[in-house]
Amino acid sequence: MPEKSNRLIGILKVLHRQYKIMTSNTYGLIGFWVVAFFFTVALFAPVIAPYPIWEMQFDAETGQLAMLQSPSLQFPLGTTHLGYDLFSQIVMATRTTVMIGLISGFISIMIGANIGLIAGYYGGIIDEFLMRCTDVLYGMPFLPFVIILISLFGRKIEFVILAIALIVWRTSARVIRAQTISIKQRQFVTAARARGCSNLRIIYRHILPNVLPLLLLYTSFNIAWSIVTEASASFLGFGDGDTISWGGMLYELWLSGKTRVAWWWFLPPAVCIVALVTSLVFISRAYEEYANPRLRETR
Amino acid sequence: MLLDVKNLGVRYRMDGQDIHAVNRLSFQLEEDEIFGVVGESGCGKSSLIKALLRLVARNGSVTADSVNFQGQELLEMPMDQFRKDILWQKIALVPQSAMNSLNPVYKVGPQIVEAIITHKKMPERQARERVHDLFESVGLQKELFDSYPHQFSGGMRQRAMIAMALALDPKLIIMDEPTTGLDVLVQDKILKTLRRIKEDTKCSMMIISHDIAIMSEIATKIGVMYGGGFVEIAPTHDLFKDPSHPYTMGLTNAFPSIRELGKELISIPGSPPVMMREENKCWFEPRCPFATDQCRQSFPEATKTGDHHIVSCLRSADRQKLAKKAKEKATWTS
Amino acid sequence: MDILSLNNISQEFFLPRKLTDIVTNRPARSIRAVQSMNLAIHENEILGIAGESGCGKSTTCMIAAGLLSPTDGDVLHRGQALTAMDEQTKKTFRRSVQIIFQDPYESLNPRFEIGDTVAEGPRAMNLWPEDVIQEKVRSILAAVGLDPDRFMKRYPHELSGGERQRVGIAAALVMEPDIVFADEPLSMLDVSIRADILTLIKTLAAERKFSCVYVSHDLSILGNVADRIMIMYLGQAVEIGSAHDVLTNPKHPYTKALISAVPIPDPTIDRGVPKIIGDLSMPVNAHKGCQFAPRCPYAQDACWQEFKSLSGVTGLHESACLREDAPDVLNEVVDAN
Repeated sequence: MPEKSNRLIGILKVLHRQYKIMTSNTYGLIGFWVVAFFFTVALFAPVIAPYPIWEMQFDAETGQLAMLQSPSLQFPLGTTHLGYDLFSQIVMATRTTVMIGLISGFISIMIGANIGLIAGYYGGIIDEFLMRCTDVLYGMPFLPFVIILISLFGRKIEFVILAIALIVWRTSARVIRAQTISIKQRQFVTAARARGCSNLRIIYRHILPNVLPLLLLYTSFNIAWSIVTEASASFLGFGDGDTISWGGMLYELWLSGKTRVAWWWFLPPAVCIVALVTSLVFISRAYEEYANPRLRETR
Repeated sequence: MLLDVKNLGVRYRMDGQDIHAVNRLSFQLEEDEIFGVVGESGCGKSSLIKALLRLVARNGSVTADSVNFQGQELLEMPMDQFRKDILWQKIALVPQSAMNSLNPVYKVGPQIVEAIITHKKMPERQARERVHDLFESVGLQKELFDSYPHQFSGGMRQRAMIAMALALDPKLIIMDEPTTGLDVLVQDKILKTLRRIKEDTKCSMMIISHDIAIMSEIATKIGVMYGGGFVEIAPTHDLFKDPSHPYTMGLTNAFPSIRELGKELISIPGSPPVMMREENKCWFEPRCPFATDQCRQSFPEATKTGDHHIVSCLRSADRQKLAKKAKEKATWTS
Repeated sequence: MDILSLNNISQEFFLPRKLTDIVTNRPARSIRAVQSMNLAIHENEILGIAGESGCGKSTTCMIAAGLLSPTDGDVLHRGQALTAMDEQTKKTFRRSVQIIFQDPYESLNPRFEIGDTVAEGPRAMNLWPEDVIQEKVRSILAAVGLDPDRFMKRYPHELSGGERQRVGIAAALVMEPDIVFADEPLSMLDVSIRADILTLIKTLAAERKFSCVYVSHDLSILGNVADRIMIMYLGQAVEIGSAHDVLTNPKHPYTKALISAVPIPDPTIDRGVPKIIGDLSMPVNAHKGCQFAPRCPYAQDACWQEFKSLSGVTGLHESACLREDAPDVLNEVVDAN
């Protein structure tokens, strides 16, 4: 089927282009590979993790419960005070964190993009209403809002994702609205109107491709924010109790009261959070330069 | 002689290649002259201005055998001396976008006063008086002195920019598209003002425009630019009576006139060159109906065909015959 | 029958009221962009609309093309009022009235291939099946002088200004309109290629039998392309007639001033001095009479009180000047031809 392979080539071309944009500067390149690394770990987590995460481990030499052991060959990242293997935990937590980040990142950009496009394109009362809703969200303190949502809905992972998505979209909505307003005034939009395009067709076929760089920038930004939010909420004990995430690991550490001793317990999740979030921000910077080439010249 | 430019070149380094914006450009400017520079987009006219004012960006380089202004070599002068003694003092620029050249948060009059004081040690009162005089000479009412740029119309801003350029009694004023974007009635008044200023101050002007109708009205001498250099320079009357370069012939064909309603307009086929590299040939050759093999192989040196009439065309000897042929549409379409 | 007629069209844009206006209970100020305009556009004609910036020529076009609803008055397409159309007729109208835009750098979507840009109209309106659309796109691209094989897959930034404007023309004509509005289609193009685009519009209009409304501030170009010319000043149509009549025998003092301000590319001709007072006046809350009165050397009291709008009957050479037959106005001859 030549048509199918054509489409495949088209998709590959788009992906290649995105790769080129992301890696157009050194930071973006670093960011891309770090993110790729975490995504791979998340994908193959059950294969990589040597032990079940909620199972007490015993020291191979002494046969005793491996309580709060520092890193060794048997337990590369050490163990918790209950003898759980930290390496397995961090690998599995990567999966959770990446999943929460991706899903709430995408949900939030979907909400933000649509609200921004619609408010910006239609203007008037619709714009007024949607933007005042966004303003109300801005008035909400970030963490308390997520915590209240989670405690309202329960500590299930779906609700955690939803709660995060519901608050993270606000900035993307504002930015995309502003961009939509400026694109709406360009002549090709009037031209599309004069050729009989419907409003929805103009929004999604003519304007959307022109806000795409900005949209991708905010996608990676929203993913980063979702990860930070999830970590904060989990650290305060509002994560899903059944799955483990990096924030959740830190919460467990806090509960155990061993924060001062167990550096091997504290460092890996902290480093992972910082590394992944920073890498996502690097990628979004690369998109920012692409969306606004003037930034490149001033460097 | 006011300004003598010999073999000027401006090239920019882009993606590892030298792109020529101005190439083998020469002209001379006498005192008390209005020199009109006509050219289309990409002909190198803005690079020419930048080279003369030494404003070429860092990725560009300027070369010339000589750029002699009143006996001084402009390109050899140290930069700070050039800024102090020449720029604005002797050679002033009226930029194309007068809209963006005034600072929107300051009143127009004080803005010009400020500029004068920083450039020339002068008591403020004297500078204010000077600006009041300038306003009068460019036809701005005195009451506008304390207005903000946004309260000015397009024509008024253009006048303010001309006043600014005149402030230090320059010998040469360079104007980049001074009437583009203005309505005809406003344009008419600006042109009149320019003519009067020239009468009053005896300064020379170099006016850059794509509109040969305006040039025919205001310029005493016209230079036609193509591919980074002048292809023809002649006194205004001679240029229209005896166009000697095929490009000039083509331009006059393409230009409508309100006095010739039925005139059939003829385009020049093709489009102007972009991203020119070092090549020894006539840049108009691809669009020229009279081109020969030789035009592709050698650069046409400037030759004198009249007292002040200079043409860069290998076939300039046949110019009368060609001019007759150029009037026919078939010449350009086949 | 006339293809399109404007009956007593007015358009006002209201300025936002300032706090002081609300306190003092002053009514909202408005800009009169178009005032009681009557105009009829024939089959197969090219009508030029001229005037300075802010005279309302582009607003008039937007109204006539149905992209802006007027504050007052009716737009009729083949005798049918725009406001009284059912969905189907409206669709026909949208298709029959097309626009060629001023700026070919702005009016093409940078992320659309040329082929898609041209096909967008028919696709959006579901005019034909996809294979017919493809065929029509190819044939219209060829008609505007662009080789379909070379250009269909290209993006606007890969084209020169002239080629882009040809794409703009193709995108309008692929809809097979009966009237096309061209708003300064040459102003962004280089002088040496303008004539080609102008000739293209003229020949296509004749071949494909559509009327064209050509808006420009440049009377020399209008003199060359238009059959009829209408002159506007601050929202009022001041003169209309055949291009030859208007340009060689203008009746309205404004037209006379405008014509004598047009530069002539011939140094041997000395054009006259435009007779006009002061600068462009502002259209905010203007007096009810002739808007040109403040700048007209011949204005009398009546001119400030009364405005005579043009009848809109086609074929006449008429001016909105109350004093057009008064000796001082009549005797001011603009020396054209």
